[in-house]
Amino acid sequence: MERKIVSKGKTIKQAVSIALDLLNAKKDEADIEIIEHEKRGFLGLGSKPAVVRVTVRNKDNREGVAESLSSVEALKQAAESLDFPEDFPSLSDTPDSAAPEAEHDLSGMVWVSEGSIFCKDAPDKYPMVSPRKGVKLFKNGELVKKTVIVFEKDVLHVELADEIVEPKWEVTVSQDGMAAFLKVIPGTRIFRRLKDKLPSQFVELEVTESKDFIVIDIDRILDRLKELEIVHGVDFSEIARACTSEAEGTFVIARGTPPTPGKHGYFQPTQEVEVKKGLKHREDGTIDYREIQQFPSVERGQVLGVVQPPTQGVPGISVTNELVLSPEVYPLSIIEGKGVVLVEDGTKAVATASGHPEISVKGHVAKISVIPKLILNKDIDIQTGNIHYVGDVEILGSVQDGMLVEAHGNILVRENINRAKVFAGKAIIVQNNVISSEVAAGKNNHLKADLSLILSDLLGKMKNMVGAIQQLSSVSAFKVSSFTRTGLGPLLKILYDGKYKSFLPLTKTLINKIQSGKDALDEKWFELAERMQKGFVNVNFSEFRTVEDIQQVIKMAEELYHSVCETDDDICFIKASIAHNSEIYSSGDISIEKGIYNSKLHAGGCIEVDGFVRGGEIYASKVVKIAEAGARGGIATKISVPKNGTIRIGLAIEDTVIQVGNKTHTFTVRTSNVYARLNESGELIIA
Amino acid sequence: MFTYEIIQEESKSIVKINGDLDIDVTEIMQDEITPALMERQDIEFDFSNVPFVDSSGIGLLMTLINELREAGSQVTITKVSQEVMYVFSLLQLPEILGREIFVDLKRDFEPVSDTN
Repeated sequence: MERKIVSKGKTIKQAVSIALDLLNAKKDEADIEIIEHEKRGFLGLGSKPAVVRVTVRNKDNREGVAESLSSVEALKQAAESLDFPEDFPSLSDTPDSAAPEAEHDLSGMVWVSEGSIFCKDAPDKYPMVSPRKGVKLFKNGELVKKTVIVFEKDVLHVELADEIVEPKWEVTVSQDGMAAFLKVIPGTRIFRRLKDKLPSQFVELEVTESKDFIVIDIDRILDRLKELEIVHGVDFSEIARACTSEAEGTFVIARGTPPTPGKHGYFQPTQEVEVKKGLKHREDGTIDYREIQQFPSVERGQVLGVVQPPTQGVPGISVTNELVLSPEVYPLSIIEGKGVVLVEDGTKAVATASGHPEISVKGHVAKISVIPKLILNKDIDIQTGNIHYVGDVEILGSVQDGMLVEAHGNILVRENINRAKVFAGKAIIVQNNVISSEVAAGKNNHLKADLSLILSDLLGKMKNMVGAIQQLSSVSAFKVSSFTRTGLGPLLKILYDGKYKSFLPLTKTLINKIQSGKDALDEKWFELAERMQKGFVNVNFSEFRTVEDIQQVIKMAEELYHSVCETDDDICFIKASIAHNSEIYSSGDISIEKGIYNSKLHAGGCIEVDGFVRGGEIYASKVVKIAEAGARGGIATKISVPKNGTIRIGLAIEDTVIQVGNKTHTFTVRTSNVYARLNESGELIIA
Repeated sequence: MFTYEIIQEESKSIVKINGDLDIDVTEIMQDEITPALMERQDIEFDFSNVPFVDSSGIGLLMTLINELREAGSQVTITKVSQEVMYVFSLLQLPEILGREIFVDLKRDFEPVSDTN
């Protein structure tokens, strides 16, 4: 009879020699079938022994008997006939355990068990296997692509490669040193096994895959942290999480302690100094006109506020244990403006005049002044005369026919403005009505806008001039030494004849503008005008000796240019109850409580009308919001904003015209909840 | 030391200038050269011996040329050294006085100009 045994070993050679030992046979007496090659695996994981089946040919005369035995019985016998230690490891690998439980006739069947293919020949049936896609079946060393018949003598082998993708990781530190990151791309190990198949005449070979994530060795991460000197704020649990993560990701594995910022020195007013924009509303929602105190004021001797010193921040620590300084803090230096004196080592500001406190902070310098306030307890008329005032003006009555009130600061009119003119540098509040009058807030900003325009032009030209003079001075044939005797005058004259023809007229325009605004501008402007007059305009006696003199003027002009670019529009506004037949200009917002009849409004900011607009022209640079617009009597009502502005009207009556950018629309029917603006392609949307 | 000589060649008066054209020339220019050249038809300034200029000197030259032109004279400037011509071009003299005044100026000579 044939005696066979399935044996395992670290290598095929070892497996065969174990089998031959067990069968007490020599190699040339046996058929050797390799069932599975050995697999080395990774770090001892996933390694597999080599499996062989060794059959000893006709060694004794029991052949005939054996043929009638099932393979299980035959092998049982074979095993019994051997000196087989009970605890021998390959015992469990003998086919009796690998073979399916089913005791029915296996002849002509093929099956897969624990990764090996088994079959049993039969004279009338041919067991067949078919490798599925992705299964590399070798029969007697040849790759099989289609269904094949298998015989017991065939050496069947399926090539199954495990796949290992090593994990990748990287430790980085943020630029500010405040965080360390661990970026991981997890590694995987894919095990492939032949799927077990029950005995059948036909078996499709399938592979099962199992996937394991490879855990990153934490020690390697910790070593890397040491290398990078990351010692502060290390989050070990996060490192562990990163190392075992099954998804690609970046983990914050260390956090520095950020510095606590300090606080710059600041001025702490002892009372409200901001001009309140809104009128005071009573709790029931009505407006309390008598209690209005919109412009805060101080009395002589009153403490305006205290200069608070800067507080230092607390330094932080980076992940690499370096000290991270908090941003530097600066003390606030105070300039005594008009009506203010500093006491107690300059830490306290006290008013020396009564009026409206004004604090303007630029960088780390604050100028504190008290703007005097003029209170007129009656109507402005022929008897009081026109009012021109540098500070704030409060009129307890009305401004009457043909009068003019002009103030650099705010103007508060407790009653009406009738056929008069009221101009303020800042805000205007009219508690009642504006009738047939002209009211303007922040008109100086007009001047400032003009000045900034001219200045920017002149600045460019002056800089070019400096460049030209410097270039000229570098030419050896040009006698620079003469400048010490003549100054830059003769040269400027030539430049004016050449490409700087427009320079002189423009300079003169600037000087005139500055002089025309002498009440509204501060002395720096006049200094500039004087320097430019003496340097550029009086060219025959020009004060400029060197290029540096021009550069000084440029510096001065630049400072002023920046100061006018900062708009004060938020402190300029106009508030009134009703506007009738008037012209109202504000460089900031305009807000009207009740309504507007046939008036012209222009705002650099927004216009808000809680009531109606009946006739007239409304223009705002930003937003117009009106409860009701249009007139039944047919007086034209036009509301416009620039292309990026918006218009909202609660109810637009027919014939009301709205304009956004250059797109206009006339309402032909009453329309509620109008919201007009341009869309991205510049079309007017009304919805 | 600044000197000048006026050479009469047929109808053309050639003014040969020797020395720096600078602030020190003011008096000679105003008191001598200007009156001497008045009512001459065709005037050529020979600059071959002018090594240095300053802005006052250029200013004087510009004034002189404008006065002579107003009096009906034809004025040209010749033999300007390269360095001095560079100064002139930086100051845009060819543009101010007209390019034809610099007869030596090659047509393809582009005055150096900075962006303005």
